[in-house]
Amino acid sequence: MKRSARTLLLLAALFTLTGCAGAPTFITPNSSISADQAGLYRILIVLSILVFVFVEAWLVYNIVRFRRRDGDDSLPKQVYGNNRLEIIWTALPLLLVGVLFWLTVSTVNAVSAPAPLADDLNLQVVGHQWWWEFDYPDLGILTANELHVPAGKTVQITLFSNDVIHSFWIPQLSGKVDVIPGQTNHLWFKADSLGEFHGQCAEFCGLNHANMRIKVVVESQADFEAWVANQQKPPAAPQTDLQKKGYDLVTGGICNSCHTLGEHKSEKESNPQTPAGPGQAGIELAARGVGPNLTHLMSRSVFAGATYELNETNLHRWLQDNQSMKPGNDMSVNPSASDIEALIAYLTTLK
Amino acid sequence: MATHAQTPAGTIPKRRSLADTRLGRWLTTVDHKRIGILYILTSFSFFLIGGVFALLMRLQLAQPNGQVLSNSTYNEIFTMHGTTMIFLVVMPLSAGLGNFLVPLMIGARDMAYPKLNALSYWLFLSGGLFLYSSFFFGGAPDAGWFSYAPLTERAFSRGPGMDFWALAILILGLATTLGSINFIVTTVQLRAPGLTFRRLPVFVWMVCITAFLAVFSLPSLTTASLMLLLDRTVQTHFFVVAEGGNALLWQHLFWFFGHPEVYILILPAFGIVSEIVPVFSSKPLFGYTAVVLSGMAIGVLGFTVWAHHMFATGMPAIALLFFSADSFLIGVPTGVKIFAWLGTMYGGKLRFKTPMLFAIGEIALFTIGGLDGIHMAVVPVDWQVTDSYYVVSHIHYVLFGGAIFGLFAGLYYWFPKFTGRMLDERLGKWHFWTMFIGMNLVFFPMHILGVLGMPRRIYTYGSGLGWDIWNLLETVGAFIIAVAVAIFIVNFYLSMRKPADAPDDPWDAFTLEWKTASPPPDYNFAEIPSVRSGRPLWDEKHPELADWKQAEA
Amino acid sequence: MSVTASSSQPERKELSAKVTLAMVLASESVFFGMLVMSYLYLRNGQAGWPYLQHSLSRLIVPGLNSLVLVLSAWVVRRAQVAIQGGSTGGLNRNLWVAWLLGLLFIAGQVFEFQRSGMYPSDPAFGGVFFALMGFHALHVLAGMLVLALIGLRAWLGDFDSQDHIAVDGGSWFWYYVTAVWLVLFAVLYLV
Repeated sequence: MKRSARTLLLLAALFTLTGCAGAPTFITPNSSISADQAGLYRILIVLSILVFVFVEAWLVYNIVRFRRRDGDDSLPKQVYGNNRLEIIWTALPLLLVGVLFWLTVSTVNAVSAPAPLADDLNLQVVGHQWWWEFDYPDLGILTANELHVPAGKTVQITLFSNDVIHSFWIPQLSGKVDVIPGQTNHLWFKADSLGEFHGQCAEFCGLNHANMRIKVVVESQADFEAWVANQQKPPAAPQTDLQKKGYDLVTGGICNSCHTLGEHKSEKESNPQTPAGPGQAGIELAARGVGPNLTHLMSRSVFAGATYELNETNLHRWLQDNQSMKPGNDMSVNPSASDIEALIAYLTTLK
Repeated sequence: MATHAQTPAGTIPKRRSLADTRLGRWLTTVDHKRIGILYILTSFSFFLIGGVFALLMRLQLAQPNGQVLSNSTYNEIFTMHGTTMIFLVVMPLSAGLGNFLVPLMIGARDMAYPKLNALSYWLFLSGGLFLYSSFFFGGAPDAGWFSYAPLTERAFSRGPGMDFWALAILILGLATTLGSINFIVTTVQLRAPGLTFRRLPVFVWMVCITAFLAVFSLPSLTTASLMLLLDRTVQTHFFVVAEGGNALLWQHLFWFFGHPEVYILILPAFGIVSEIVPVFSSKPLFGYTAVVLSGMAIGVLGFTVWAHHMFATGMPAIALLFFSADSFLIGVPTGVKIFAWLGTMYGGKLRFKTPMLFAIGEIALFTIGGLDGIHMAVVPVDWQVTDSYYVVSHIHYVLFGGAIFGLFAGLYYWFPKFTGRMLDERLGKWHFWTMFIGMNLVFFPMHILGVLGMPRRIYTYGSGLGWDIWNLLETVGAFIIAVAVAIFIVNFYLSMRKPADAPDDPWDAFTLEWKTASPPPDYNFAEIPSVRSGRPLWDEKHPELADWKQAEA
Repeated sequence: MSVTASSSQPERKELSAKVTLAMVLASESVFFGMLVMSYLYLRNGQAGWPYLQHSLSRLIVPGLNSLVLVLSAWVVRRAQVAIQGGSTGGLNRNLWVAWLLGLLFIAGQVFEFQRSGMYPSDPAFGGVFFALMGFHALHVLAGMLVLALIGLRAWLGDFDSQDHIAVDGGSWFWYYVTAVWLVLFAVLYLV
């Protein structure tokens, strides 16, 4: 059919031009939500092209056909309007937008969250300036920047903000939802295929809004369970002297004034819902660290708002001069060179 | 040294009064034509500054991990770019054209309140200068032109930038409100004999509707800005969530202003196109009544769609669908206008002088921007494309392709009336084509970037996301626009050097402003004309085909 | 024969003044309306909102203040009627009384603010309460300035039974300020 051929052509063009493997776009969806949105968008594009072509064709026709020829000083017929025509070109667009509205309603319904089931994966996402925190309350896991989910399972997410308004957006998995202080928002998705997907904060939130990215790893149920098991382990104990020195530094006030290390009890155990006072979201956000949980730092492949690859070189540079890597971020520590050696020695054991 | 003048009482040193000097004439003027020109010159200067900011932004974004601007500088620049273009360029440029033309088009000698008119201008200039002074007093505002709380609270925006923003907004809001009241009273009171509302030029109608929009929408912005200032200075807690405030309150207040605001930005340009297309088609506007009614419909509906800027905030479904429906609805009257313009051209005898080129360009480009808007009314699609470059594309197609192209059309069209000289046609055409190409090169790929997942208001981006090539293209396009603007400036300069001998009615036009000299004398009309239709000059020039002789709709 | 379309003729001036005042009051209404909506919006989200109507004694001072303001509006009406009948003396006397009543209202407001023990920095409620009351009080002060200026012009003999646009304009502003107060009183103290 002509329609799908045209849109396939469009997609193909985009694919080839962008080396699409990396592009976080809903037109290569990995969930039913994004697929529904992409399908609807395709219809919109086709309709828009039709309207656009109609308008521009009429415009071009006018320009070509009714150009005043040289030497022609005559006056055209003075037409003031045509009631029937005007009614038609008011009614037809009304009809068209009516159709679009009906499509909107049905798609809103189609992508709305299913009723929560016991089987779902529950996730709490907290937006901080300028990193994303992921809390699996039923599993007792607290991590950051890199999100692991199993394919084919419904993920129900509650969104909180620790400070200003952010927006959680992973295009290939779902539309964006704002993360608003004082308000609990909800998001859901069910990832279809395995793979790594990119997301970013989509509401301007200050200096490092651009550096508040998300890496989503969709894995098989088995791999996910292995990841969970690892995340649930306590942090590695330091073995060598250098590691012990690093451990002391981490827990002695330099790091743990902002970062957390160690067991994170499941939400049910440690944080009974506080009654909603003015402005409280019902969750004791103050109990969270200002910085990401470090317990399994090295199990992640990205850090610093998922803007840098997590390896020893980058970690070293971060500890030396994090402001040059992410200017204006809230980490204002200046460990000495030998302290950095010790910290690296210990941190790299936190797999 | 005092000059000695002969007076009956003998030689007494007589000082020049300020109003006698060249500079003083401009500083003390209460003449709507001079005030109009002041508005136009000032807003054009801000346009250049805002444009330079855009170029800086594009340089930073040309490549991933750009190093041209730091994140803090970028945030100030994009905030000032938006705030400047909206409050210091499009609005005052429209006001300037309105100021010069509305009294002339209705056959009046001046606005209803000439002194208030002057006050509005000087408040505008003061507000703009005050806003820019922030660069020198601790930093410009850096939270975007819509300044979402709680980011703008003192806890998260420690510098004084946001205070400058809020105060400047208050000053500028006052200027616009006073100016709007002036336009409304002028149009109600000072129309020439026979100039009923059904004969009012569409540009005057649009300015009037815009004035109503401003009067009713600005107080919401005033409320928000005052609340922000109170939060930041005396520790009230309107938007501080931990103390009982509400983060979304800002957005509701802001967008209740913000949405009518975008119609404030576009309606005068629609009015300009509605004047130009008929003249250069040698035909009356097709469906005058429908065009005017659609302007009113847009005005009224514009107050009911504000939360379509907030679809991603977690609103209940019923609210989502209401605002979605209304946003669809508001596309219909805009379509009516576009078809009216096309219907005007159809069957006419078209002359493609520069004003007509820009008007046609406006129609073509606004169509794209308007269709984008329809896309975003589809809530599930909006959930993907809002807050991404898709929106940046939309806003620039409607504001640059729509408002700026329309305003340039007006500048080329009425330039002889303002200055007594014609702008050069050849340079005008170069300007148009360069700007048309540059504009599409910058803003069309932004659709693609939005679909590819690039959020807006980011000072840089990672490589390997498929965004690089489009950003680079856009930067090239931005500089092409800069060349186009440079051509215009050259055109302006060269044209102003010519003698002021333009005819009264160089375009063979229809409305009363062309009945006066170019430029008009201080008193506008020696004798206030009477009119019998919406095209008084047409009636005079073609008495056998006069509008009032036809069966009018 | 052309008719000069200028704004200097008396009927035109009156219509201009009416349209201008209508626009100004429309603008102010949106402003107060947005503040009231914000009040309701914030109140809707809160537990523990210090509702003022919970104790009747809280209503005494604002209630009395309402009477003062309504009385002043009646007095301004009398002033308007007086000049319509040509009595500059009546105009002046009534303006003075209205002005004093306005001053009494302001004093009452200041007393109420101090008595309430609240501050603008109180969580949520403080800010919006003082914003509403404060901006209203500013409008009352502006109205008092207007009345004073009208009184001055009246004393200098500017007005007669035919020509008193400024008196009408100022009176309407005062009625408006009174009406806004009644709305605020209802929203803040009764609802």
